[in-house]
Amino acid sequence: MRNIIRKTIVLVLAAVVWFSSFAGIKETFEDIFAGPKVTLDAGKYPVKESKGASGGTEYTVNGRKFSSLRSKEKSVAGGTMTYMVPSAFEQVESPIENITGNRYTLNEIQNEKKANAEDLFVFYFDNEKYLLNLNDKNQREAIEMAIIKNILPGEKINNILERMEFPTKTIKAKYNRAAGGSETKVFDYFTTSFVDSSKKTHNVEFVFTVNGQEGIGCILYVFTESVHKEDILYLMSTIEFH
Amino acid sequence: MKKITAAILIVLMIAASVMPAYAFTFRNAATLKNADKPFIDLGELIGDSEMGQGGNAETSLSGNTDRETEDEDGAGDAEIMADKLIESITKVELVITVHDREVNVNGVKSASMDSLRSNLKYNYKSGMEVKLIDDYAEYHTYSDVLEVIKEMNISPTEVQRP
Repeated sequence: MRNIIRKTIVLVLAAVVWFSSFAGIKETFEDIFAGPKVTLDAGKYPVKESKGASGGTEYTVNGRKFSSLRSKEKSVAGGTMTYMVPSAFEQVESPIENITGNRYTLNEIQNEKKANAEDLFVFYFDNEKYLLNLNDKNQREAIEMAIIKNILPGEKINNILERMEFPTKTIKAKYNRAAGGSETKVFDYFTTSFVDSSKKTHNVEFVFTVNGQEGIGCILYVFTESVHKEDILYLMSTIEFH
Repeated sequence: MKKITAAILIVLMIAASVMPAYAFTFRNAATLKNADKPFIDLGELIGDSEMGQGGNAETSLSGNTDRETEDEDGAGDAEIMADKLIESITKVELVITVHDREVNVNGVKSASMDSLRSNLKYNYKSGMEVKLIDDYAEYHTYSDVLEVIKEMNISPTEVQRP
Protein backbone atom coordinates (compact mmCIF):
# COMPACT_ATOMS: atom_id res chain seq x y z
CA MET A 1 0.00 0.00 0.00
CA ARG A 2 2.73 2.46 0.98
CA ASN A 3 4.55 1.54 -2.15
CA ILE A 4 1.55 2.39 -4.31
CA ILE A 5 1.17 5.79 -2.60
CA ARG A 6 4.84 6.50 -3.03
CA LYS A 7 4.68 5.50 -6.69
CA THR A 8 1.66 7.71 -7.27
CA ILE A 9 3.36 10.71 -5.65
CA VAL A 10 6.45 10.17 -7.79
CA LEU A 11 4.35 9.93 -10.94
CA VAL A 12 2.32 13.03 -10.10
CA LEU A 13 5.49 14.98 -9.33
CA ALA A 14 7.06 13.84 -12.56
CA ALA A 15 3.95 14.77 -14.51
CA VAL A 16 3.94 18.26 -12.96
CA VAL A 17 7.57 18.79 -13.91
CA TRP A 18 6.87 17.43 -17.40
CA PHE A 19 3.87 19.67 -18.04
CA SER A 20 5.52 22.74 -16.62
CA SER A 21 8.12 22.39 -19.34
CA PHE A 22 5.48 23.07 -21.96
CA ALA A 23 3.10 25.38 -20.18
CA GLY A 24 4.23 28.10 -17.82
CA ILE A 25 7.97 27.65 -17.99
CA LYS A 26 8.58 29.92 -20.97
CA GLU A 27 6.55 32.66 -19.32
CA THR A 28 8.38 32.11 -16.08
CA PHE A 29 11.72 32.44 -17.86
CA GLU A 30 10.44 35.57 -19.54
CA ASP A 31 9.33 37.06 -16.25
CA ILE A 32 12.71 36.44 -14.74
CA PHE A 33 14.98 37.36 -17.63
CA ALA A 34 13.02 39.67 -19.90
CA GLY A 35 14.12 42.78 -18.06
CA PRO A 36 11.97 45.86 -18.35
CA LYS A 37 8.45 45.62 -19.71
CA VAL A 38 7.95 46.81 -23.25
CA THR A 39 6.71 50.38 -23.61
CA LEU A 40 4.78 49.93 -26.85
CA ASP A 41 2.72 47.09 -25.40
CA ALA A 42 -0.05 46.57 -27.96
CA GLY A 43 -1.72 44.05 -25.64
CA LYS A 44 -1.80 46.27 -22.57
CA TYR A 45 -2.95 49.39 -24.43
CA PRO A 46 -5.52 48.21 -26.95
CA VAL A 47 -6.65 50.60 -29.68
CA LYS A 48 -10.42 51.09 -29.80
CA GLU A 49 -11.83 52.08 -33.15
CA SER A 50 -15.13 53.82 -33.76
CA LYS A 51 -16.78 55.97 -36.38
CA GLY A 52 -16.00 59.64 -35.67
CA ALA A 53 -18.90 62.02 -35.03
CA SER A 54 -17.70 64.36 -37.78
CA GLY A 55 -16.72 61.57 -40.13
CA GLY A 56 -13.56 59.52 -40.46
CA THR A 57 -12.45 56.95 -37.94
CA GLU A 58 -11.68 57.67 -34.33
CA TYR A 59 -9.04 55.73 -32.44
CA THR A 60 -8.83 55.69 -28.65
CA VAL A 61 -5.62 54.53 -27.00
CA ASN A 62 -5.11 54.69 -23.25
CA GLY A 63 -7.64 57.55 -23.00
CA ARG A 64 -6.17 59.56 -25.89
CA LYS A 65 -8.16 60.08 -29.10
CA PHE A 66 -6.85 60.20 -32.65
CA SER A 67 -8.91 60.90 -35.73
CA SER A 68 -8.15 59.76 -39.25
CA LEU A 69 -9.19 63.28 -40.32
CA ARG A 70 -6.30 64.80 -38.38
CA SER A 71 -3.84 62.18 -39.52
CA LYS A 72 -1.72 61.58 -42.59
CA GLU A 73 -1.25 58.29 -44.37
CA LYS A 74 2.38 57.43 -45.03
CA SER A 75 3.66 55.03 -47.59
CA VAL A 76 7.04 53.30 -47.67
CA ALA A 77 8.72 50.77 -49.99
CA GLY A 78 6.76 51.97 -52.99
CA GLY A 79 3.43 51.52 -51.24
CA THR A 80 4.15 48.04 -49.85
CA MET A 81 3.66 49.33 -46.31
CA THR A 82 1.35 52.14 -45.22
CA TYR A 83 0.58 53.57 -41.80
CA MET A 84 -1.11 56.61 -40.28
CA VAL A 85 0.56 59.31 -38.20
CA PRO A 86 -0.94 62.28 -36.34
CA SER A 87 -0.51 65.36 -38.57
CA ALA A 88 1.98 66.94 -36.15
CA PHE A 89 4.43 64.13 -36.92
CA GLU A 90 4.92 65.55 -40.41
CA GLN A 91 6.81 68.56 -39.01
CA VAL A 92 9.54 66.29 -37.73
CA GLU A 93 9.60 63.66 -40.48
CA SER A 94 12.68 62.88 -42.55
CA PRO A 95 13.54 59.90 -44.72
CA ILE A 96 15.92 57.25 -43.39
CA GLU A 97 19.07 57.20 -45.51
CA ASN A 98 19.98 53.55 -45.75
CA ILE A 99 16.62 51.76 -45.81
CA THR A 100 13.14 52.73 -46.98
CA GLY A 101 11.29 54.42 -44.15
CA ASN A 102 10.89 57.56 -42.08
CA ARG A 103 12.42 59.05 -38.98
CA TYR A 104 10.43 61.18 -36.56
CA THR A 105 12.32 63.33 -34.04
CA LEU A 106 9.33 63.48 -31.73
CA ASN A 107 10.93 65.69 -29.07
CA GLU A 108 11.14 68.47 -31.66
CA ILE A 109 7.40 68.72 -32.34
CA GLN A 110 6.45 72.39 -31.92
CA ASN A 111 4.70 73.52 -28.74
CA GLU A 112 5.76 70.38 -26.97
CA LYS A 113 9.54 70.55 -27.38
CA LYS A 114 11.42 68.40 -24.96
CA ALA A 115 15.11 68.31 -24.22
CA ASN A 116 15.23 64.55 -24.01
CA ALA A 117 15.60 62.72 -27.29
CA GLU A 118 12.60 60.74 -28.44
CA ASP A 119 13.18 59.22 -31.85
CA LEU A 120 10.96 56.96 -33.87
CA PHE A 121 12.02 55.09 -36.99
CA VAL A 122 9.45 53.30 -39.12
CA PHE A 123 10.91 51.24 -41.93
CA TYR A 124 10.36 48.24 -44.14
CA PHE A 125 12.73 45.31 -44.55
CA ASP A 126 12.30 43.70 -47.95
CA ASN A 127 13.31 40.03 -47.80
CA GLU A 128 14.24 39.84 -51.46
CA LYS A 129 16.39 42.93 -51.30
CA TYR A 130 18.24 42.19 -48.08
CA LEU A 131 18.33 38.42 -47.52
CA LEU A 132 21.45 36.81 -48.91
CA ASN A 133 19.65 33.49 -48.89
CA LEU A 134 16.00 33.93 -49.78
CA ASN A 135 15.24 30.53 -48.22
CA ASP A 136 15.57 32.33 -44.88
CA LYS A 137 12.38 34.26 -45.58
CA ASN A 138 10.38 31.95 -43.28
CA GLN A 139 12.83 32.45 -40.42
CA ARG A 140 11.09 35.40 -38.79
CA GLU A 141 13.24 35.50 -35.69
CA ALA A 142 16.48 35.02 -37.61
CA ILE A 143 15.64 37.99 -39.83
CA GLU A 144 14.61 40.16 -36.91
CA MET A 145 17.86 39.26 -35.17
CA ALA A 146 19.82 40.19 -38.29
CA ILE A 147 18.10 43.60 -38.42
CA ILE A 148 18.94 44.27 -34.77
CA LYS A 149 22.52 43.16 -35.27
CA ASN A 150 22.83 45.46 -38.25
CA ILE A 151 21.70 48.45 -36.21
CA LEU A 152 23.27 47.52 -32.88
CA PRO A 153 26.51 45.71 -33.52
CA GLY A 154 28.45 44.49 -30.50
CA GLU A 155 29.26 41.36 -28.62
CA LYS A 156 26.72 41.88 -25.86
CA ILE A 157 23.91 42.20 -28.36
CA ASN A 158 25.10 39.10 -30.19
CA ASN A 159 25.21 37.17 -26.95
CA ILE A 160 21.74 38.10 -25.84
CA LEU A 161 20.24 37.51 -29.26
CA GLU A 162 21.79 34.11 -29.70
CA ARG A 163 20.57 32.86 -26.36
CA MET A 164 17.11 32.55 -24.98
CA GLU A 165 15.96 36.11 -24.44
CA PHE A 166 14.86 36.81 -28.00
CA PRO A 167 12.30 38.06 -28.74
CA THR A 168 11.73 39.77 -25.40
CA LYS A 169 8.04 39.39 -25.99
CA THR A 170 5.59 38.42 -28.68
CA ILE A 171 2.21 40.10 -28.40
CA LYS A 172 -0.94 39.42 -30.39
CA ALA A 173 -3.13 42.51 -30.66
CA LYS A 174 -6.70 42.20 -31.85
CA TYR A 175 -8.19 45.26 -33.47
CA ASN A 176 -11.93 45.59 -33.95
CA ARG A 177 -12.20 47.73 -37.04
CA ALA A 178 -14.70 50.59 -37.19
CA ALA A 179 -15.52 49.56 -40.74
CA GLY A 180 -16.45 46.11 -39.44
CA GLY A 181 -14.56 42.90 -38.88
CA SER A 182 -11.46 42.42 -36.80
CA GLU A 183 -7.79 41.96 -37.45
CA THR A 184 -5.05 40.38 -35.39
CA LYS A 185 -1.51 41.67 -35.65
CA VAL A 186 1.45 39.90 -34.12
CA PHE A 187 4.29 42.05 -32.82
CA ASP A 188 7.72 40.84 -31.76
CA TYR A 189 9.58 43.02 -29.30
CA PHE A 190 13.18 43.42 -28.33
CA THR A 191 14.37 45.93 -25.76
CA THR A 192 17.81 47.12 -24.83
CA SER A 193 19.57 50.41 -24.18
CA PHE A 194 21.96 52.55 -26.14
CA VAL A 195 24.69 54.80 -24.78
CA ASP A 196 25.42 57.81 -26.96
CA SER A 197 28.83 59.46 -27.24
CA SER A 198 28.03 61.89 -24.43
CA LYS A 199 27.37 58.81 -22.28
CA LYS A 200 23.66 59.36 -22.07
CA THR A 201 21.61 56.18 -21.93
CA HIS A 202 18.55 55.81 -24.15
CA ASN A 203 15.94 53.08 -24.08
CA VAL A 204 15.76 51.13 -27.30
CA GLU A 205 12.72 49.18 -28.38
CA PHE A 206 12.36 47.24 -31.61
CA VAL A 207 8.91 46.17 -32.75
CA PHE A 208 8.48 43.87 -35.74
CA THR A 209 5.44 42.72 -37.62
CA VAL A 210 5.75 40.39 -40.60
CA ASN A 211 4.33 40.87 -44.05
CA GLY A 212 3.94 37.19 -44.87
CA GLN A 213 7.11 35.98 -46.57
CA GLU A 214 7.68 39.29 -48.32
CA GLY A 215 9.24 41.32 -45.58
CA ILE A 216 8.98 42.83 -42.13
CA GLY A 217 7.55 46.13 -40.94
CA CYS A 218 9.93 47.53 -38.34
CA ILE A 219 9.66 50.15 -35.66
CA LEU A 220 12.65 51.38 -33.72
CA TYR A 221 11.86 53.59 -30.76
CA VAL A 222 14.74 55.34 -29.00
CA PHE A 223 13.85 57.45 -26.01
CA THR A 224 14.78 58.63 -22.56
CA GLU A 225 11.25 59.81 -21.84
CA SER A 226 8.29 58.22 -23.61
CA VAL A 227 5.95 61.10 -24.40
CA HIS A 228 4.28 59.77 -27.56
CA LYS A 229 3.55 56.18 -26.59
CA GLU A 230 -0.15 56.38 -27.54
CA ASP A 231 0.62 58.04 -30.88
CA ILE A 232 2.95 55.18 -31.77
CA LEU A 233 0.49 52.51 -30.63
CA TYR A 234 -2.06 54.19 -32.90
CA LEU A 235 0.50 54.15 -35.74
CA MET A 236 1.18 50.44 -35.11
CA SER A 237 -2.50 49.59 -35.26
CA THR A 238 -2.78 51.20 -38.71
CA ILE A 239 0.16 49.43 -40.38
CA GLU A 240 -1.05 47.74 -43.54
CA PHE A 241 0.77 45.73 -46.19
CA HIS A 242 -0.31 45.86 -49.81
CA MET B 1 14.94 -1.58 -6.26
CA LYS B 2 11.70 0.31 -6.76
CA LYS B 3 13.31 3.37 -5.16
CA ILE B 4 16.00 3.24 -7.81
CA THR B 5 13.39 2.97 -10.56
CA ALA B 6 11.52 5.94 -9.14
CA ALA B 7 14.73 7.96 -8.85
CA ILE B 8 15.66 7.19 -12.45
CA LEU B 9 12.16 8.16 -13.54
CA ILE B 10 12.42 11.52 -11.77
CA VAL B 11 15.82 12.25 -13.25
CA LEU B 12 14.52 11.38 -16.73
CA MET B 13 11.46 13.56 -16.33
CA ILE B 14 13.49 16.51 -15.09
CA ALA B 15 15.89 16.09 -17.98
CA ALA B 16 13.00 15.96 -20.43
CA SER B 17 11.45 19.05 -18.90
CA VAL B 18 14.62 21.07 -19.28
CA MET B 19 15.21 19.97 -22.86
CA PRO B 20 12.63 22.21 -24.55
CA ALA B 21 14.32 25.21 -22.95
CA TYR B 22 17.73 24.12 -24.24
CA ALA B 23 16.37 23.52 -27.70
CA PHE B 24 15.98 27.29 -28.03
CA THR B 25 19.30 28.20 -26.50
CA PHE B 26 21.33 29.03 -29.59
CA ARG B 27 19.89 30.74 -32.60
CA ASN B 28 21.40 32.17 -35.70
CA ALA B 29 20.67 35.45 -37.38
CA ALA B 30 19.93 35.48 -41.09
CA THR B 31 22.73 36.78 -43.32
CA LEU B 32 22.01 40.06 -45.03
CA LYS B 33 23.09 41.53 -48.34
CA ASN B 34 23.05 45.18 -49.49
CA ALA B 35 23.58 46.07 -45.86
CA ASP B 36 27.20 47.19 -45.66
CA LYS B 37 26.14 50.31 -43.78
CA PRO B 38 23.85 50.01 -40.76
CA PHE B 39 20.25 50.70 -41.74
CA ILE B 40 20.15 53.25 -38.96
CA ASP B 41 23.33 54.63 -37.44
CA LEU B 42 22.27 55.40 -33.88
CA GLY B 43 25.77 56.58 -32.97
CA GLU B 44 25.49 59.30 -35.58
CA LEU B 45 21.82 60.18 -35.21
CA ILE B 46 21.08 60.08 -31.51
CA GLY B 47 22.43 62.41 -28.87
CA ASP B 48 25.58 64.44 -28.94
CA SER B 49 27.71 62.95 -31.67
CA GLU B 50 30.67 65.33 -31.56
CA MET B 51 32.99 62.57 -30.43
CA GLY B 52 31.79 60.51 -33.39
CA GLN B 53 33.67 57.31 -32.71
CA GLY B 54 33.61 56.24 -36.33
CA GLY B 55 30.05 55.06 -36.04
CA ASN B 56 31.12 52.50 -33.51
CA ALA B 57 28.04 52.89 -31.38
CA GLU B 58 28.47 51.56 -27.91
CA THR B 59 25.63 49.37 -26.93
CA SER B 60 24.72 47.98 -23.59
CA LEU B 61 21.97 45.86 -22.25
CA SER B 62 19.00 47.15 -20.36
CA GLY B 63 19.65 47.64 -16.74
CA ASN B 64 23.37 47.67 -17.32
CA THR B 65 23.70 51.28 -16.32
CA ASP B 66 26.68 50.96 -14.04
CA ARG B 67 28.70 53.08 -16.46
CA GLU B 68 26.46 56.07 -16.08
CA THR B 69 26.77 56.16 -12.34
CA GLU B 70 30.50 56.73 -12.65
CA ASP B 71 30.17 59.69 -14.91
CA GLU B 72 31.67 62.32 -12.62
CA ASP B 73 35.19 63.67 -12.49
CA GLY B 74 36.64 61.52 -15.21
CA ALA B 75 35.80 58.30 -13.46
CA GLY B 76 34.22 57.33 -16.78
CA ASP B 77 37.50 58.11 -18.57
CA ALA B 78 39.31 55.82 -16.21
CA GLU B 79 36.89 53.12 -17.13
CA ILE B 80 37.53 53.65 -20.83
CA MET B 81 41.27 53.36 -20.12
CA ALA B 82 40.65 50.16 -18.21
CA ASP B 83 38.57 48.81 -21.09
CA LYS B 84 41.35 49.61 -23.53
CA LEU B 85 43.90 47.94 -21.28
CA ILE B 86 41.79 44.81 -21.02
CA GLU B 87 41.31 44.88 -24.78
CA SER B 88 45.04 45.02 -25.41
CA ILE B 89 45.78 42.26 -22.94
CA THR B 90 43.16 39.96 -24.37
CA LYS B 91 44.00 40.94 -27.93
CA VAL B 92 41.92 38.66 -30.06
CA GLU B 93 43.09 37.74 -33.46
CA LEU B 94 41.08 36.96 -36.50
CA VAL B 95 42.38 34.18 -38.71
CA ILE B 96 41.15 34.04 -42.27
CA THR B 97 42.14 30.87 -44.08
CA VAL B 98 41.72 30.43 -47.79
CA HIS B 99 42.01 26.83 -48.91
CA ASP B 100 41.27 26.21 -52.58
CA ARG B 101 37.96 28.09 -52.97
CA GLU B 102 36.95 27.77 -49.33
CA VAL B 103 37.17 30.76 -47.00
CA ASN B 104 37.12 30.33 -43.22
CA VAL B 105 37.10 33.01 -40.56
CA ASN B 106 38.23 31.60 -37.21
CA GLY B 107 37.08 28.22 -38.43
CA VAL B 108 33.65 29.39 -39.60
CA LYS B 109 33.07 28.87 -43.30
CA SER B 110 32.01 31.86 -45.39
CA ALA B 111 29.90 30.76 -48.32
CA SER B 112 30.43 33.92 -50.35
CA MET B 113 32.28 37.21 -50.36
CA ASP B 114 29.11 38.86 -49.03
CA SER B 115 28.96 36.55 -46.06
CA LEU B 116 32.70 37.08 -45.50
CA ARG B 117 32.03 40.79 -45.51
CA SER B 118 29.23 40.53 -42.95
CA ASN B 119 31.21 38.05 -40.87
CA LEU B 120 34.12 40.48 -40.70
CA LYS B 121 31.78 43.33 -40.00
CA TYR B 122 30.44 41.57 -36.92
CA ASN B 123 33.67 40.09 -35.69
CA TYR B 124 36.35 42.60 -36.57
CA LYS B 125 37.08 45.31 -34.07
CA SER B 126 39.70 47.97 -34.71
CA GLY B 127 43.07 47.09 -33.30
CA MET B 128 42.46 43.39 -33.82
CA GLU B 129 45.26 41.42 -35.40
CA VAL B 130 44.17 39.81 -38.65
CA LYS B 131 46.04 36.90 -40.20
CA LEU B 132 45.34 35.88 -43.77
CA ILE B 133 46.55 32.36 -44.45
CA ASP B 134 47.10 31.23 -48.01
CA ASP B 135 46.51 27.51 -47.65
CA TYR B 136 46.90 26.50 -51.29
CA ALA B 137 44.26 29.04 -52.18
CA GLU B 138 42.69 29.38 -55.57
CA TYR B 139 44.14 32.57 -57.07
CA HIS B 140 40.83 34.36 -57.77
CA THR B 141 39.32 33.46 -54.40
CA TYR B 142 42.42 34.73 -52.62
CA SER B 143 42.45 38.01 -54.49
CA ASP B 144 38.71 38.47 -53.89
CA VAL B 145 39.24 37.91 -50.17
CA LEU B 146 42.14 40.35 -50.17
CA GLU B 147 39.94 42.90 -51.88
CA VAL B 148 37.15 42.51 -49.31
CA ILE B 149 39.66 42.87 -46.47
CA LYS B 150 41.27 45.99 -47.95
CA GLU B 151 37.84 47.45 -48.68
CA MET B 152 37.15 47.28 -44.95
CA ASN B 153 40.45 49.03 -44.19
CA ILE B 154 41.90 45.98 -42.53
CA SER B 155 45.59 45.39 -43.06
CA PRO B 156 46.25 41.70 -42.55
CA THR B 157 49.45 39.83 -41.96
CA GLU B 158 49.69 37.49 -44.92
CA VAL B 159 51.01 34.05 -44.18
CA GLN B 160 51.72 31.33 -46.70
CA ARG B 161 51.24 27.78 -45.55
CA PRO B 162 54.31 25.79 -46.62
